[in-house]
This record gives sequence, structure tokens and C-alpha cells, in this order.
Amino acid sequence: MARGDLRVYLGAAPGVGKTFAMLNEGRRRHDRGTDVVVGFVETHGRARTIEQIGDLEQIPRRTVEYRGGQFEEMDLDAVLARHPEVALVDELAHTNVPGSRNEKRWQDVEELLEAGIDVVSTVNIQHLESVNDVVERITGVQQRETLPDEVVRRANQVELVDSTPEALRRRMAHGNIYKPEKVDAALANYFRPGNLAALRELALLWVADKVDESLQRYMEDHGITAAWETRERVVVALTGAPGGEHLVRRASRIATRAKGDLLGVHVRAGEGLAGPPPGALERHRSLLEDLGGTYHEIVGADPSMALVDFARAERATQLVMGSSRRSRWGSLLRGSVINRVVRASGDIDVHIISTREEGEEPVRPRNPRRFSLGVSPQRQTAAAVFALLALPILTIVLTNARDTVTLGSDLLLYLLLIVVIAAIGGAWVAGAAAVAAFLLVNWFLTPPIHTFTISDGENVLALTVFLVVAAVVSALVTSAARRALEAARARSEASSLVRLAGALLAEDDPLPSIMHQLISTFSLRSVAVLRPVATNGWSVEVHAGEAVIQRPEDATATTELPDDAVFAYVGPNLSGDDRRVLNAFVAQLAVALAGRALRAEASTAVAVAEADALRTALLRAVSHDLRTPLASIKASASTLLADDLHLDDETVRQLHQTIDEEVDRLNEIVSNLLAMSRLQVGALQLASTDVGIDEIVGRALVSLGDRAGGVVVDVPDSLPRVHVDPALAERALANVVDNALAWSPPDVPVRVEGAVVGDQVLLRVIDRGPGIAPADRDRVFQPFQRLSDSHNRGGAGVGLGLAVARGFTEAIGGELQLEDTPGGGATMTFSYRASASYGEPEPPGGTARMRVESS
Amino acid sequence: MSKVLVIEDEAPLRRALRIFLEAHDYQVVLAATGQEGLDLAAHEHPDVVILDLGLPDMDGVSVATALRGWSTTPIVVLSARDAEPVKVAALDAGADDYVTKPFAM
Repeated sequence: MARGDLRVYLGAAPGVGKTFAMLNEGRRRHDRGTDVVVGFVETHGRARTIEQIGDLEQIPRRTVEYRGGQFEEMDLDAVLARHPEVALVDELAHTNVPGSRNEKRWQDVEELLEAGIDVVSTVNIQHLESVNDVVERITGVQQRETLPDEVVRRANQVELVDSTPEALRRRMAHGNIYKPEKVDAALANYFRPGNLAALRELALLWVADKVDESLQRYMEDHGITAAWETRERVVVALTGAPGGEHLVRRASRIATRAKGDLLGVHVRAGEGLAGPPPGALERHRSLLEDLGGTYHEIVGADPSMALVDFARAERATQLVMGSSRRSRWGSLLRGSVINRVVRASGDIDVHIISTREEGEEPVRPRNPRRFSLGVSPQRQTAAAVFALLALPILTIVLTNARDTVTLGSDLLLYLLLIVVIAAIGGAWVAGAAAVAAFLLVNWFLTPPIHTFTISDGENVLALTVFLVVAAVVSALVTSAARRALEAARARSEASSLVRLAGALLAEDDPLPSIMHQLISTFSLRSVAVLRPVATNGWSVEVHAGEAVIQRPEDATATTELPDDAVFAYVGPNLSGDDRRVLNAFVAQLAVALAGRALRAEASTAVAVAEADALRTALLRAVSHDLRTPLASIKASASTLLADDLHLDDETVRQLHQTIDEEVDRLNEIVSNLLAMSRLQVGALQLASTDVGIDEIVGRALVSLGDRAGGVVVDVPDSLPRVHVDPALAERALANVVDNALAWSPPDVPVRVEGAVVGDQVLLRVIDRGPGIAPADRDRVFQPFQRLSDSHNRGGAGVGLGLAVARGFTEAIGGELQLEDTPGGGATMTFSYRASASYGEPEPPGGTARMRVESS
Repeated sequence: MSKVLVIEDEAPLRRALRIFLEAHDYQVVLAATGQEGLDLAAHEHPDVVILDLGLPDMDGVSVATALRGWSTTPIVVLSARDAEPVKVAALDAGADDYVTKPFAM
């Protein structure tokens, strides 16, 4: 049996009219003769909704008793038994009363669908699991009835029942949604305009997603590649020509108005298009990116086709171009790019933007490479020298062989020579050589010899053809050479830019790698970013290469960067094309510099935030933990002071003792707070000396007073001495022992053991408490951390004890580590390096001598 | 003679409270943990319960909630926490009064 279809009406909020729409559809289908029943409808007593049910057949509901209440649920079995073509089932996200077959109504609906029944249902956006948290953030109301998105996503059709927030509030105010007594509260709370607008946006976005998904699937299924106007995508063609800023801004406005994407594309081509003025294209690019567009660069011999192909591949709907800057001659000879784009664009709209608005003459910059590119002056000279040598030699040889070689072969040999010259020296040298060859052949080889007259008409034709062929071949050879050169250059530019882009993406601070790439790409000797300081001085911000460039005057050339900074390099003079690529690098350099500045700012912000968090934690700790001993002191003191009480001596003594102990405890907390703040500002002054571990342990236990009774000490006298500040070591140990006592069961002692491993003296504090989970091990050493809210922590107080212990231990060159006690509990291990005198026989009075030295 | 149950994990404060209350002719029952407090509340039928919020075994709010499950004995909360939400939570859980430490007697 085929599975039934599910159609879901999705609404942004209660009351938008989902149930109404569902019933309306049911009625329409019913009127068309379809067998429609109402499985379950929640009318909320809304009159117009009840009216919609009309004569639709309703399956009687099932009444369920639960905890003394009567609940009505859809009678699933009755609907299955009735087996209509279509069942209307309201509120897909509804949770059934416990004891029903399924926990959720959508599971009931699944059963109906499985049975081949079509179901029309409703759901509100806030019930979808994926947006649950967002809804809670927007409305402050937690949704308990949720529904897996998948259920609705799988539906054959999802229809949004939309209503503007204003209309919904109006309907609500009229009492169409809730009963009058609930209206005010609803309007003030859940149905606030802001809430409704946000919920509506959520619903629209969710449906848009679903539509996008099905469209994507449809296009894949049907192999559709033609542009599909779902969302506007605007492609703007960038040439780097003047007026480009205007073009980019216009394109951006078109894209913004259409809420579409903006893509900029530059077609890099060999023939026809002039190279953009250095920097102009980069400026247009950064403007485009500032306006939220993405920049693309493609290579194509035919700019118009490349542009259209790109637009189609990007599923563009609109193409924006500047009006042509070609002379009329250029358009006639090579055709207008615009005309060809318009012809090829098909269903893509093409906008031609006038780019002459900025008051400048539409003069294209002359292409400097038109005459020079491809052949260097050195090669032209070489070719000329070759021609001057080779032409006479060939002429002499052929003159001697005049009887055996025909004029046709002569001409072919000259032609070969011309081609070689063209390949070396380009069209101009080859042209001159061709004319020279023409004259030489005429003088030496065509009868009558040694005159410039030619008797045979056929020879005239042959010579003329030779001249034309020579000219064409040399032109072709030259242009092929130029193309090859351009291709090689474009390739190397592309690969260095790719490397550059990679560096920017992959590295936290790409500055150094950009600098090194600059050096290797352009064979520079050194590069630097300079920043002006005070009066006409310069500071070097970043540099790479052989020597540090101190001032812009020392550089071969400089380029401006934002914020008055200057990029300077020492190396060969770069050609215009190289300068263009260099400018691209420098643009990235500017980005990287900006990134570095932002990172610096961010790290300051982090430090401030950390300090702030510490302050907050401190305040909380002080307000909470200082109060605990204060409460005991206050209670005891006020009892002592109460005149109407008659206390016996023993009781008075107990109260005095309490005050005394609690003041000690407060004092300890305050010392730890002070110690922590000294540690945090790094203002700890050490007074290190050689001291025995047993002395440290002894003093630490004394400082713990009565609580030290629960400690068993096993520290041999033979342990080497350590070179530390004894006061800090003692404080650290006392804190750790105190913490161990707080966590240990009362009847199990805490053990303090000393040992020596290599040159390290270890001191272990072992408790049999609950231990500390591996995940919390670093956290316990953070200030103001407590793993549980127990007060029963002894004197260490505000979660500072272990932080102070570790801080002090590290300040005196030791380490404090936490591990499990085998069999349960935590073991804290101090390790200190044994003092230098360890291992040597200690001279009498040695310790005293060393103390003097180190103090 | 009225009976007061003090549920407080801080021994010094427990002692001060006991001395003060006994001097005022109350009968005092002491508990150091939440569980102990609940047991004593069930067996001793106190007339009022003084409850600390930061107990080692369970939160004072849960003690109040549990107590309210079967008893209407007045509960006075004693706590070093003075944030509004904590007070509201304690009062919602059934406490009758909330006293912030330190306090006069």
C-alpha cells in the first residue's frame, strides 16, 4: 500500500489561522468528493474555526483518565478502522496523555500515513526542535512540546500560514484567538510585536530552507543548469578602468535592493583589454569586498564569453558592466564586448552602467606593453646582429649555387631565416630583415642580376608573395611569443597570489610569510614596513631580508599603506606588471597589519576581561565566604553581650573560643587573598635559603593548630635540603594539608610523606577523600574555584588555598601536581630541586655559611 | 517549651546558636547535614527549623522542598548568599523567612 501524503500548515504563532486553513482545505476536498474526516481538531472555542468544520465527519475522540483528570485524545484506532482518504489532525507537536499508544501525536500521524491515509496537519514554528532554543531566547518561554524537524521536512508539502504581527495582534485584541480575560496578558507577553516579528522571520526562514532544499533536489534530478531565479545574484565585471568605483557601488545597490549576492569578476585576458592601471583594480576589489561582495578572477581569451560563462556558472541573474571605453575603431575591428555579452547572456539581465559620471574623459590608458611586451631590447639587438651576419652569408652561398638552386628554393631558405629572426627579435627586426632579403634576392639572384629590375613576371610575383608571407609569419611568431610570455607571467602571478592567499588563511600572523614571499617572488634584497614616529623619524614595524631598511629614503621604492605606514623595499627596479602584483601583495600586507593590530587589541581586551572575571569572582567569594566566619563571630559576640542572658563560665569560654578560632580563620582567608593578589601582580619577593623539608612540614603543621591532629607525618631526616623561601613553602604546604583535611573522612588521617627521586625532593600529601575527577584537575588550582559548594573546607576559605599553594610553589621554583591516591582519594605532590650542596659531604657549619651567602 | 531544629554545617555557628537559643529556654536539636536534618525533623517534630543553604550533602533549597512535602513547620533560612534569585528560590521552596549572614541575635 502506498504511503499517504502529509501536508503541513506551518505557523509562526498561535492564532495565525493554521487550523482554519486546514479545515478549509478539508472542506474543499470534501466538496470535490474526497472522503475527508476530522481526526482531531483543536478549535480553542474560536467561532470562525468551529464554523469551518461544517458538515465534515468527525471521528469521536477517545477520553483518557489520568491522575484524576479527563483528557481527550484522537482515537487512532477508530480513524484507522474508518480508513478515510484524508484525515485532518491538528497540532502535530502535541504530546499524548501518558498511557496512550504513542508518546506524541506525530507518531499517530505516522501510523495513519503508513496505512495509506493522507494527512493534513498543523504545527507552530516554536515546536520545531532545531529552533527551540532560539524561540526560548526570543520569547523567554520554554517549549516542552517539541517535534523533530525531520517529520515536517519529510512532509510532501509544507505551507506557511503567514500573518503580519500587527494583523495578529489586532485579531487577538478582537478576541478571535483567546478569550477576552486572557487577551491583555497575551498581548503584553508572548504576543509582543518584537516576538511575533522574530517568530515570523524564523518560520519564513525555515520554509525558505525547505524550499531551497527541494529546489536543489529538483534541479539535480532534472539536470537543470540554466540560471534559476530563486535569489538574485549580481555579477559585476571589473576592468580596473576609471569609473570602476561607481560601477561597483551601482552593482552593490542593485544587489542590496534585490537582497541578493554580489560577485565581482575580473577577466584576465591576453589580447584586447588593456592592463588596468596599477592599484585601480585593487581599489575596486577592496571596495567590492567592503560592500559585502566576493572577488573572482578568471582567465579567458575572449572576455565576453568568459564573463557570460562565469555568470552562468555562478547562477547569476544580473550582470552589471561599465559602458565601453573602446574607440569606435576598436569596436569596429574587434566587436564590442558589451554587444557580445548581451547576445550571449540568454536569460541573465545585463545592466550597462555609464562610467563617465565622474567627470573624467573616457580615455583608456595606453597599453605600455603593446610595443614592448614579448621582446626585450637585448633580444632585438641579438636578432639584428644575427640578421646582419646570416643574410650576407646565405646570399653568398646561394649566389655561388645559382645554377643548381631555383629561385623558389632560395626564397624558402630566406623565409626560414626570417622566421628564426622573428622568433628571436620580434616583428620589427623580422620585417626589416624581410625587406633586406627582398632587396638581396632582387639584386643577386633574379635575372637580370645586379640590377633592381626583374625581367620575369613570375619572379615578381614570387618575390612579392615572399615579402607578404615573411611579414605575416613574423607577426604571428611575435604574437605567439608574446602570448606565451603573458601566459607564463599570469601563471606565476596566479601561483604566487595563491600562495599568498594560502598564507593569509592558514596562519595566525601571516605578516612574516608575506614578507618572505615578497622577497622570493620579486628577488628583492630586503623589505620593511615603516611607521613614522614623532618628528621625521621612522620605526621599523616588520622587516625581512639582508639589511634592515631604516628610512624610506634608503629604499629602492616605497608604497603607501593605511595609517601613514610605508612599505619599502630594496632590490631591482620592478616593471609595471610586477608592480601590479606587488601592489596585490601590499594590499594583503595592509590586511595582515590590520589583523595584527586587531589581535593586539583583542589580547588586551582578553586580559581586561580576565581581570574583570577575577574581580567578580573575588567579590562573590568575599561576599559569600567571609560571611561564614563572620556569622559565627557575630552570633557568639551578640550572645555574650546580651544582658538578659545568664551564661555559665564554661559557655562563656566556649563562645570566646569560637570568636578566637573564627578570627584566626578570617585572618587566614585574608592572608590568602593578599597572597593571591601579590602572586597575580607578580610582586612576590623571595627570601630563599637552604632549608630541610622536615622543618617546612613541622612549621606548616604548627600553623594549622588543632586541625593538624589528623595528620600522620613520614618525612625522614635524611632528605636533602632544598633551596626555597621557607615561608612560602610552608604556606603552600599548609594550604594543601588543610584542603586534604577538609576532604578526608574524619576518621582517616591525611599522610604527609617525603622521598627523594634523582635530584628532586618529593613531598606527598595523601588523602582518602572523594578524589578529583581528571576533568577538574586543572580547575582546582584556579583562584575562587570550588568543586562543590560545601562550607566544610576548613581555613582555606574562598577556594584560594590550592591556587595560592601552586602559585607559591612555582614562585619558589617547585612544582605541585595532583594525582589519584591508589584506592581512592587525591595525592598532591610537591617537587623541589635538591639544594646544590646535596651529595657533597656537608662541612661543619656549612648550612649557616650558605644561608649567609644567599641572603 | 518550644523546640528548634538547627540545620547548619558550620560547627562554630551551630554552637553559638545552641547557646543563644538554650539561654532563651528553647529546646535545641542540632543537625550538620541536610539528610540528618530531615531525619530529625521527622522524629523530633520541631516547632521551627533554622536552615543553612550551603550544606555538604544537599542544597538547603532541596531540604526545604523535601520538608514541605509533609510538614508545615516554619522554616527560617540562614545563608551567606544574598543574591535575589537565591532568596526567591528559597522562599518559593517553602521557606518562611530569609536571614542573611552575618546576623545579630
